[in-house]
Amino acid sequence: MLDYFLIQSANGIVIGVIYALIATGLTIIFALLKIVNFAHGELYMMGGYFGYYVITLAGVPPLPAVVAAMAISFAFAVAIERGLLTPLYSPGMERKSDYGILITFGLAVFLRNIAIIIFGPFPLRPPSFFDGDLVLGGLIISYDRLVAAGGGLLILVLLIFFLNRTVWGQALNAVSQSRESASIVGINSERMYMFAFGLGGALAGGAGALVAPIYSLSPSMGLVPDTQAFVIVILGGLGSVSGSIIAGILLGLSENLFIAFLPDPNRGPSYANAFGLFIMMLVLLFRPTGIFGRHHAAME
Amino acid sequence: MTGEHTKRGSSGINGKRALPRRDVLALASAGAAATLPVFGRPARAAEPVKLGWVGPLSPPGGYAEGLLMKYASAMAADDINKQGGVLGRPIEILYQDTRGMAAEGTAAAERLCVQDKVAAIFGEFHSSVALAEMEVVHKYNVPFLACDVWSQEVTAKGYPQVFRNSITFPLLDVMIGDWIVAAGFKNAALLCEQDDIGLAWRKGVADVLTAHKTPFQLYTADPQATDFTAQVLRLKANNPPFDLFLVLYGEAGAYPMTRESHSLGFAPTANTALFVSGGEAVDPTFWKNVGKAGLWLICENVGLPKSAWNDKTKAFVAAFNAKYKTDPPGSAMEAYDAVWNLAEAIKNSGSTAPEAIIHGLETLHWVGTRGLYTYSTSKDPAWAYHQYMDAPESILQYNAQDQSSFDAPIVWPKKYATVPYLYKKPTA
Amino acid sequence: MAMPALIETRGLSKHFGGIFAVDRLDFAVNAGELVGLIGPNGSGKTTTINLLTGHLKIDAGQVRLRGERVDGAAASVFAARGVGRTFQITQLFSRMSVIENMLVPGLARAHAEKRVVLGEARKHLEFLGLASLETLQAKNLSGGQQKLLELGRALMLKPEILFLDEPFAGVNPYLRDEIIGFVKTLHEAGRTFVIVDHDLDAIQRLVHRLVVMSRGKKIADGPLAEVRTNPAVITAYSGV
Repeated sequence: MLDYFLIQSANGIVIGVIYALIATGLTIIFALLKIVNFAHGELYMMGGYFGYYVITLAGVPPLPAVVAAMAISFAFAVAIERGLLTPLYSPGMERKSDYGILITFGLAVFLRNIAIIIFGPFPLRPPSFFDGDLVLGGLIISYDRLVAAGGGLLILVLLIFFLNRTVWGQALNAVSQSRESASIVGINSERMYMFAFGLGGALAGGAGALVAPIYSLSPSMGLVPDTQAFVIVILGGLGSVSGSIIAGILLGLSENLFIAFLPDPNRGPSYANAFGLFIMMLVLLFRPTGIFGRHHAAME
Repeated sequence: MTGEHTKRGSSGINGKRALPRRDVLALASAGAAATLPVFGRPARAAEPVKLGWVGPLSPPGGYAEGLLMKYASAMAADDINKQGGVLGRPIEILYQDTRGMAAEGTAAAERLCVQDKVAAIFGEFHSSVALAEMEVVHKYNVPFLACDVWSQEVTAKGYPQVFRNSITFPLLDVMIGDWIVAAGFKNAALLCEQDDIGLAWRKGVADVLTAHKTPFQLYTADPQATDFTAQVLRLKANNPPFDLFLVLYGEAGAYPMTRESHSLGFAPTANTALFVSGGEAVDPTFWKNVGKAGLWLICENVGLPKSAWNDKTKAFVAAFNAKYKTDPPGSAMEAYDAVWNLAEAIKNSGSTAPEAIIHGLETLHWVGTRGLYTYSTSKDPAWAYHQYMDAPESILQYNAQDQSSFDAPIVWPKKYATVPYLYKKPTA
Repeated sequence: MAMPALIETRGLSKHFGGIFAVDRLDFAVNAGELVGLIGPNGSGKTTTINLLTGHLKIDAGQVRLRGERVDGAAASVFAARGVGRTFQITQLFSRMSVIENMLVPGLARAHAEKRVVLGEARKHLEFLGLASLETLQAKNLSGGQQKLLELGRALMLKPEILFLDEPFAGVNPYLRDEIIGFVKTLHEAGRTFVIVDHDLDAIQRLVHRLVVMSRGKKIADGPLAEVRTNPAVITAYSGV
């Protein structure tokens, strides 16, 4: 029983780290641009494909390919921001959040469908990071999953360091708290928006590249992570990076343990996703702004 | 007047004139030529016979299979048109993306029936969508030849417009259930998608196993899920242990499920067999996605087994491979044959009117890439009505990595089997 | 040739719909001045500051900083060029501590060294009497303390000119006197100030020159004593 619990927990943490990675990107975008990015799951999907083609076309080994995928995802997200989102910054635009929803939603549909044409409809899978499974007593976990979790954790740690200890990170933090203040102290807000969207895209893309050997790539693979990311961001508190990380890991863990221990084993996996939403509902009942939520959305 | 002027057929004072014999012969030849069936001469620029294709081309539908079915349909139209079209008219297919959603299916069928006024509709891939499309074709009395939709409801409803050229769950389930019993499995885990189709499929197999008193457990999973580790672990820990893991999962999730199941040492292993139903195991990127987890995996094939291929099958497979660089799955063959079925029905009945096409299909006796096509008119059982009862189906088990589904050993039914065993336990 | 004004406008205009918030304003501030900008509500004072610090785009006219045109530049560009400001309603990084608020503008400067910036920040906090509150989150400061912190943060830009928008609004008399003291000290050290406020008493204690606006236009500009007795100014304030 202990073995069973351990392995389910280990797998839950792996999934949780990936969730956290996707969700932190989403929360950063929200904290800076104040829009919900409905195309976030598609940035995750595109990142996965970028990694795949970097490996198959350029012969880059799988691990460095994740870094390359993040860089390409960053550039791709910046291009999207420059091309589609700059109207958000013009003082004359009304109903900015509506615009944000519509444009990112439309982008999501576009990307999903263009991916079918460009990448083909059949699932693709890049080579494993490392073949085989780690076996420790009753614990079996594939090396790919370990790499995904380890890589994800490393990225998150670097992100936190970046946000707290570097000038750019502080600048992002500043803009998320007060756009006005930031501009009067010499920070170019628009440049920060561009950077934030790029960073969010890089995080999502990195997650996609990390999980590709585990789950395979398909043009519609962003649909479920999209919903999960929203749940996590709200659970953790809108705009809270640490909240997203903790909520992401918690959600992955609890979903897995739910399936593992639900008294009705026959129906467990059908309701795994619904379980996340249920947890969110419960948390919001007692803490309406999320676990680490504040009244204002600001990055921390 | 000389004979050269007879073509104008000018009349005399009385308005009547006997035609010279040469003219009669000329006219008779022209008339005879006009009545020749036009297979055998290139189609002229006559008004096309419009057929409507429905199927998933984008998410959340099974767009991968839908695309292959669309390719095959286009190939069929080309082939027919190269031979002169039907009734002197070219076939033109109008494609509608139904995205795996019933509401889209309804809208697509409406467009095809009302706006495009097609002579017939064919295709689909998702039973739930076909059930919606059926209501529309029934309302407008447009023949509908359903491909690769397995729910028995499609034909059991008894709509005269509706035909099916693929297998249906009763046929499939009986085959799978019989195989499970014959192969001697003692405890099966059945996992299916949590939707109508998954549940209908599961019921059929469960009924067979119950009748034979073979123990089994039923499980469901979200169709959009991609992580099955928790579930697989739970199954692995089951007591008594399962010796068969039977999965119906029509989505991309089947691949990670297969890999996880293998990676966690559950199935396929010497202790537990893995059967993945639903078509993923014969799709082009199967091996790329599952790698060594696919070795010893069992699945069904709804195309004609290679050993039974006729010239048409060979020609189609070769042409499809040349054009699309991949083997056509059974569903693609169904789509290809469907266009031909409809063309034949139109040709035999001499008309594109709905009743003519329906009659043409009911009386069809034509060999396609999947064998001889006939459609039952019996209503006992209800799903037999307008069903291609001899739809080929077989069970194969891969015994080499990267093996083509065409070359994999067929273990069941006996009439197609290429190996003496029913199931081979994986060797270490 | 005379030195160009530190900041000046010619024909500056801004309208919102049909209303001219600022209407063809000519206004210049020379280095070392301490100017008061007053006027009844709705006269366009805050809009003028917003235009002169890059927070609003001008509709017509020019803005020159040390003779160089800067109209159309972003607020961050003005800030980087030594134009500091405070807001009517204080704008701080509420989740950051006092010292972190101070460090942001310092570190945003090119080639900034954290040790040096930290030293500067602490010096300013000491000057403003906020040194003991260094680690407190900005949102937990009192209203008056927040105003001082905003001033301190503006000082971190090493500004040549500071626009203070209603620094005395809602402060108690003791703090008001403190702020007056700070401004005088900073002015004596060489900084230029433009102060907008309704507290005429405080303004008169500080400034040498007074500019009066009414309905978007400048109606008086000159030494304190002169402007005080200007009939147009009296009319504007009495509403007649």
